[in-house]
Amino acid sequence: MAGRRNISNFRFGSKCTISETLINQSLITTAIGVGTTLCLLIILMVSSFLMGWLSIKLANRTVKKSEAKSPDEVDSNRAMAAVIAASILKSSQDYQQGHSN
Amino acid sequence: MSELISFLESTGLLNIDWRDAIMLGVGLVLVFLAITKQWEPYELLPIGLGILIVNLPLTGVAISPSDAGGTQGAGIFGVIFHYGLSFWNILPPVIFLGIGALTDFGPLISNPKTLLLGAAAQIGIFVAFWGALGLNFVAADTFSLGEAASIGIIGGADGPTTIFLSANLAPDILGITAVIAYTYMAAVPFIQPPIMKLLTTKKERSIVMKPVREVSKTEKMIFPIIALIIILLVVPRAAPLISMLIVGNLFKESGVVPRLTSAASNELLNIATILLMLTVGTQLQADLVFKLETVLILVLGLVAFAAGTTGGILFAKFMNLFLKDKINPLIGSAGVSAVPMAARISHHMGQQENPNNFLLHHALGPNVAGVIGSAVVAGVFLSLIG
Repeated sequence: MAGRRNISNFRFGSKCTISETLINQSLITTAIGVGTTLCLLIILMVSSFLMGWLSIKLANRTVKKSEAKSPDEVDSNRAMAAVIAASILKSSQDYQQGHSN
Repeated sequence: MSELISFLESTGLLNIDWRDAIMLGVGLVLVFLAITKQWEPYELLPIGLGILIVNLPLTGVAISPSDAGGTQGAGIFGVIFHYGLSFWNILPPVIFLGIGALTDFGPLISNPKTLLLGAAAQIGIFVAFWGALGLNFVAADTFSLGEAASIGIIGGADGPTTIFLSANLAPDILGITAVIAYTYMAAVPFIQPPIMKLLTTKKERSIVMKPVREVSKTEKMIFPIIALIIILLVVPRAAPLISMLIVGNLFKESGVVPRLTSAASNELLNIATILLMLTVGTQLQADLVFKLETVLILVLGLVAFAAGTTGGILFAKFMNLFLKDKINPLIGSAGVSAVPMAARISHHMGQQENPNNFLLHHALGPNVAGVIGSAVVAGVFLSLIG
């Protein structure tokens, strides 16, 4: 902070001006700063919306695919489940018989 | 006898003046607040200790290599300041890496509208920027353009971004802007609620927002990459902050490098925080602080915070004019960053009106957007002024 300028001579009401160049530069900085930030965040917002929309579409398609499985496949799954259930039942009966003997 | 006198003259006891004593008091207050009230303890405790150390006379810990004419005569904190901040400016990006590894973009992706609130809350930066420049009407050359930008960025309520920008544009006021930024961030629970109450009605504060959708892991990985590419194509000077934020976040979201995620969010972040905060504290030497410009920066920082909060809330109310599913304007204030404190304030304020209202998840959206927004503004300032 060494070499600071007129801050020690700060006087309210003293006749001071701000250069036109500084004002112009500040206006440009503000306009570009506000504009860039807003535009970038809007682009990110749109990207997020699109990403979310695609994600939901893909998720729906996956659900539909799983719902639309062929009847043959469903039947074979049911048959497999019945076989497994019967095997479990039989093995548990064998087990109980073994213990009662 | 002359040796004794010489020794006494070399002690701090005979060299302390009233300004040092006041700064020692300030340091003690910060340490007290951090420990007893737990106000931002990770920041205020090391900053307070740094203030204590540097204001004890003749320690020389803050002499920078450039002042000393070489590294041999420099003090430890002067070396860290010189290489970690003003010369290489490496610590703020490292902090952003850790923040990225802790950040969840989920709330933002699930409710992208909240990005606009993060943008609106950046208005505080420009209000303070113009406030600082406006002082040149009162006294010529009060603040340069770079200093005005560094003061304005306090309104971003993001410590590392403030430090990053000040170190580049106005290293002379780095210590003051950093401490003021962190102090106001710690004081968010006191600064924001009155403004939030003033600008919203009871009915608005009671708005219950629709639950947001679940965000997939793929979306959480794609979003940061899109953000990285888009932002850096437009504002390359924001790269040190944005790239590190995204790298840390992708470490976390990918799930394939848990050790790197842990290192970034724990060890690295903690080490950087220790070095950064202690060094920032040591920049608050009495001869730098007791100046009118410090008071002005303090006032402008408060204006920036208040304007940012106002901008976020008013924009949320404006959005409600067009939205079918209304948003609670309280989450607008979280757009000033101050992660996650500002989001918590929104949540608590909402619960005061309706205990069944859970705004935290919603408020984290603008909160994270605010981090991105302030880093973008910092990049723009650097491009145009740096």
